[in-house]
Amino acid sequence: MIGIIDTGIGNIPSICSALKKINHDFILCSNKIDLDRVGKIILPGVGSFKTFYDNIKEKKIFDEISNRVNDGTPILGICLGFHALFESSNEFGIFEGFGFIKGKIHNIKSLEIEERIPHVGWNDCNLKKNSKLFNHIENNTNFYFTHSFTPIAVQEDDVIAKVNYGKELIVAVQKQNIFGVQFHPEKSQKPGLQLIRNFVEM
Amino acid sequence: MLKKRLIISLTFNEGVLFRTKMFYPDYRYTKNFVDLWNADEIILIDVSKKEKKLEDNFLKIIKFFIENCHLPITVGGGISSTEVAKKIFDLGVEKIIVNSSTYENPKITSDLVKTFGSSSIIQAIDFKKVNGMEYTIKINNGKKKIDKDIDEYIKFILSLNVGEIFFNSIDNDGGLMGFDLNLINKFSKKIDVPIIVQGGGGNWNHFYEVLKLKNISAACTQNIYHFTEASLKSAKKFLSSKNILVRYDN
Repeated sequence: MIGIIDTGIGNIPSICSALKKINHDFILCSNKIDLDRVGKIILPGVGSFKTFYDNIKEKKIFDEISNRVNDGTPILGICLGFHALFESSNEFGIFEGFGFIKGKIHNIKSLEIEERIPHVGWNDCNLKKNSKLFNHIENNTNFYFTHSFTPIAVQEDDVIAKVNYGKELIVAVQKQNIFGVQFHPEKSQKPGLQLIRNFVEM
Repeated sequence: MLKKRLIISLTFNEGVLFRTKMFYPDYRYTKNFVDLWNADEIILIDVSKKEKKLEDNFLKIIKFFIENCHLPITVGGGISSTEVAKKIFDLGVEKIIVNSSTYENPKITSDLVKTFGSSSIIQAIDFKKVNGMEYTIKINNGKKKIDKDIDEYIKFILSLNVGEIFFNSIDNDGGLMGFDLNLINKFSKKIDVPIIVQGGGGNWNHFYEVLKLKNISAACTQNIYHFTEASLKSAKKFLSSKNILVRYDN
């Protein structure tokens, strides 16, 4: 059973319809009892980090998620959920993330690129190392992005894909049971569904 | 590299698909015709009259697209509070479009940006030609002229940190005679967020003419014949042959 963390905001129905499409059972999780029923966690996110963070803290499942993931439960963070895997974010103030993966979330502007921000649209992912998350997905496949913030100071070992946008942005990470993608697989048609299938069938 | 986007824009009156030029229902095409694989994004606009906006019939349409497309969905038309916006985002919508409310009450827009993030909020601007070569900005469905200099207004919009700007040409809307390149060149230079253009795309060369511009990230089509069967695919093939970077799989 897949648990989708009910962050109270954003793209949850899109993730549900993606899981329905690939015929996989899921529940929404907003407390420990829900979390105890699931074997894998998807952490979605649309919105600002602050709203996301306030919602998760308010539901008091921050620590529960942390414990489960530290015990080895696979987690897939998407977009803001991807940002939350890192140590901190400075979007509208400074917020602590889960800190599963080393790195900080900064505005893309801090990279001093000439491209427009936000980074919106389809961009091709350059795979940097093998990961089960990208099984049956070719190198340079396009996924849909929409974000103004990006992780920096990440250890190269944890990076599985980057995109070119003035500079290289880190868009997919894996550290053991912890997976994260900047793009929206649930909005990226066939390759996106394949990625979600890869995660749930691991 | 980031691809230029071809966006399908659909307008609905109380949940019934409408063409915008004449505002009459056209039952020859339905949402089922949409060429899902080759569109890069879908915009759904509610053009119902004020008291009928964002009601169940339209929400059902949104749900249909969320459940069937696995594509980014943007919704616009009458979203004028964070509560209403939340209701829309909770359906699984990626981005929303705001327009008149930014002029009338900019705090709503800055609240939307704070709550849902910059990249989730698109500001639409409806341009209207005056005296041949000059322009004004209209709000309230083209009914009211704003009392501000265009450059100033654009600067003000950008200060609210919206994620994208949506240029709409009222004159070229539905005309299929090409985008208003004069308008686009005149006002796109000072904008540092992605710009989507709409109004006038009739053939694929029109799309080439705007998408080759460095400042333009995406072009919208509302022409029903553009999204039937494999036509978007042929558009991508054409654009690709002209060296426009698009998401195009053989």
